[in-house]
Amino acid sequence: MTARRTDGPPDAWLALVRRLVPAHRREEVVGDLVELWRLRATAGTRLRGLRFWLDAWSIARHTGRVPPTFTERTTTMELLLTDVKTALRGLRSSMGTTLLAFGILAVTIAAGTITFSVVDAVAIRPLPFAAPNELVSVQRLLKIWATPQSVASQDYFNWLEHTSSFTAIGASRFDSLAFDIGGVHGTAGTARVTANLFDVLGVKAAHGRLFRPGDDEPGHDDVIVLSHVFWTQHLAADPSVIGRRVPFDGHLREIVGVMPAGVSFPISAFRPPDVYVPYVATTDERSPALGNREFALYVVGRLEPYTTLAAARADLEHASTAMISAFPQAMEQDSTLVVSSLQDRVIGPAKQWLYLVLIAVAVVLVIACLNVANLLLARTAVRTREMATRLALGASRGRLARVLLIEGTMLALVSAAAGVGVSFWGVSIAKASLPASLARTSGIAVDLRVLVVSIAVAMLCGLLFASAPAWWSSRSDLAASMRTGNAGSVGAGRSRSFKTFLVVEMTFVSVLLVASALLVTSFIRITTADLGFDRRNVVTYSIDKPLGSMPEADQQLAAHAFLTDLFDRVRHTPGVKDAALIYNGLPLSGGSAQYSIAVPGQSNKLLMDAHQVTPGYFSTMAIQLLRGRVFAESDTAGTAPVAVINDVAARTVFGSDEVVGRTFTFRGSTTIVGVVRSVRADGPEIDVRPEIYVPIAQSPMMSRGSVRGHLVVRVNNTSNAETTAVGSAIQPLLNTPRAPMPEIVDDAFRRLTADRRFNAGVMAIFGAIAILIGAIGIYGTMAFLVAQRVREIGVRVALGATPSRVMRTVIRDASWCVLLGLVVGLASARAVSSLFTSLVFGVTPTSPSIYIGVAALLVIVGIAAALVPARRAARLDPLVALRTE
Amino acid sequence: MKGDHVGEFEELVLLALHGLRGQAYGVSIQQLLERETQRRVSLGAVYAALERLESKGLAQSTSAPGTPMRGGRSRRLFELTADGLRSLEAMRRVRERLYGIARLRPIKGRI
Repeated sequence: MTARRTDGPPDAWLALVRRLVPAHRREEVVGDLVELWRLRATAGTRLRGLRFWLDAWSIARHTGRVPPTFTERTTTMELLLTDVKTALRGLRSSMGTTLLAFGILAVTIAAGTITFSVVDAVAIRPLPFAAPNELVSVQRLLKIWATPQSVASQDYFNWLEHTSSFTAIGASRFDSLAFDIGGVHGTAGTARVTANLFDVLGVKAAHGRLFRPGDDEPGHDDVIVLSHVFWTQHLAADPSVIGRRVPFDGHLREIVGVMPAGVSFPISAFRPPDVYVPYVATTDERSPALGNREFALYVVGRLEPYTTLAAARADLEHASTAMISAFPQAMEQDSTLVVSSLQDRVIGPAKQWLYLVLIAVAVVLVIACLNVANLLLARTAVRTREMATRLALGASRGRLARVLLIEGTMLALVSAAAGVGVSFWGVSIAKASLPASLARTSGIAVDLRVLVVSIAVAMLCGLLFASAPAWWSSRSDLAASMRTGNAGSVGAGRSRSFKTFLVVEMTFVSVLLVASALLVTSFIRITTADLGFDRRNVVTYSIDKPLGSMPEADQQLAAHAFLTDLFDRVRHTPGVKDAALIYNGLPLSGGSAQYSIAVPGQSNKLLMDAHQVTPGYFSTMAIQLLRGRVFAESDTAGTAPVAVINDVAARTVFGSDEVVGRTFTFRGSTTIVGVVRSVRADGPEIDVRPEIYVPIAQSPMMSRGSVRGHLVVRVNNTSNAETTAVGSAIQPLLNTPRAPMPEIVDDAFRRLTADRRFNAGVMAIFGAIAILIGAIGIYGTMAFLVAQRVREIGVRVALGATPSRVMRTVIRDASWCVLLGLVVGLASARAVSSLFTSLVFGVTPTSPSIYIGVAALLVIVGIAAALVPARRAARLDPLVALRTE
Repeated sequence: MKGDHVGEFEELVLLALHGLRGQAYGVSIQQLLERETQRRVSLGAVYAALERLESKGLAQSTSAPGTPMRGGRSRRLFELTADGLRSLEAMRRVRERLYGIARLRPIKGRI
């Protein structure tokens, strides 16, 4: 029975086993293992690798235990094993400290892992497109707006022809399509995309194909690409749907492909598109000749190699300037183009606070490490005599230090394992509570890189917090330690290093607390901010009532009759206080269209948010009237066109509050009849813009064959019963298969401020963890120092010190550390506070009240934490204390 | 006395040493015991038992050349010493007496 030479355990395994076994036994042991492997191979035994290692391990275990032959000479591995055993014994000997350190580390590592997973998925990982760093986004920034907007279609078609910085430019605009699949009706969020968009992005279909040139030709555009989510939800992820024709908005469209999972465009704050259809531009949208511009295109380009963002921007601006000189009517207002990398646009403002959270978690980690270092240091001090004994028995200082390093590393690794375990569960919670406005949250997961980072951080922590005790013990004075009767007392120098750790810890804690306080305050200010209208107890319903084909005059009448009927029904529903209709620009609904307005005496056209409303709108939303009047039922198509403007428009456009009676041109000459307070329609953080309101009854929108807009209802409370009652009251009028969905305005506000809430919540949690760890640190250090000074305190008490005096001494000690840490911490926080400017709201980063509050909190917590050891010291019986020898 | 006590596993190893007659080494002992006892026997346990037996003076070892099966690596052959054989016989006598007593005594009801 001869086995093949190649059959046997891998050489690397054997090499490893050699390390486990003393040199003079290697031959036989390795020989036995090889022979056993081959015997098992011949017998067809399964799991040979596992059995090999079980045997190898049992040999290592026994050789370590059995004197004398196998331990005549110890191997490195054996030394290490002994050290590990010693370290384990050390950890076990002070279970309380070990568990405390484990708890602190596990919590912080979990916090770190969860945070890093989120930041990584949202901000660090590249976009799911080919060569994503070549992709740029183009936006237009009008001078009167704070944030860049989408661009006009005329711009896009102009750039397509007259720029050379891009290998290709694609565009997308939002829309929605009603669908009816297998009896399920719904509205699909739709991206109308140029046929080349997916080529620009470098996305390949998961099934079928994506769009190709020609799909955007009129007549050939009845094709649709489904998002992976839509395909899974509504078509049961069935690959055979490719080629099927499905009605969208009443027209049959052929499903040509499915997007890959997790890939969507635009990647934006709002939900990703459900479906994609080709964007077929009208002549109007292509030609700048009419001056009719709507800013709605999300433009993305792929840069030519070696082209900078600045060069691309200059190229685009040049093309735009040329277009405006050819077609002056295309000129709107002073504006500039914003060209940024697509990644930056997608992550946008979130990037800043994500990094802030990452820094915060790093600070928490540092605090935890300092604390654990202090705990281990205290324990090492107690074990000074043990160390000295070992040194006396011949252990090298290096070996002692190694044992301590192993202790630290093991503690860190076990804590990391627990922390990572917790974070798997924590990530799913974080995912659910993350703001919906955050792009790419679906990609969040604990992945290999996150694990590697966590474990690396844990190792680093282990080395960091074990190195101080190790360094210390290696320098300990052998003879002195052996002489001291009192096991492990520390001198003045040692107690100073404890306090130094504590001061540094307090510094970090106060910096973190300042950051948390700033963000939590900002969040409170945001939720209580004045939006210019009352967002509570308002519910809205999207209305789209086709009027059928009839002459224009009849349509106006039909619309009027419909609205009268609608309000009649709504107002008679129990719990309803008031109701109105708005078309375009419902506050907090995610934007509004701007329209060109010409003011006599001003050469440039102005873009303003124009809302068409029924007369009851201002009272329903509780928008305050400042001057003049609001609309009345008597403002109809037959009377002179009137408008109400907001105070910002009055001041910036007309330069005065006294504007009632003045006119401007918006689809004809319009007279201003009133001025109302500005509404923060995009949330508290976006500046107010000039707005105009015109009566729906005078609006040409009504003649397009349907009544569209949002029904706004003020109710007593937004309970389910009331909102459903309104919905079912109006359903018969709308001829829809089911009642319209209520949208509660307060919910929209909550969604809008979700990132703030998340941010404030995370920072509050981190702040709480930091202050808890800080309190443990103060308590631990003081308790330890008191325990060290038992004899001294005993002598003092014996000599007549009163308990309150003893208590004061301990608390004074603790207070010094806290105060010193506070001073340094608050000063550092103040120094870096300018970084917070863009992240805070309604509070300045240097606001004294924040700093005073943090100081007060930390002092109170510090004293409270020191109180327990202080009382213990005060209650010390001098007889017992002096007997400790 | 405790140092000279021979445990159950050591007894099995001693028997294997005798049974393998000059061909007793780690793997052969392990294989024999695993086959006969129907239990998983780890190589390390065998080594440990051999070490203990050797230190008690019940077994002795010599180095022997390897076989192709183990890539020519040397083997450590074990055999019983005179003391080892005496110890086995003593244990056997104890067992046989006990078995004899056990057989004489009728089994009544439950224990």
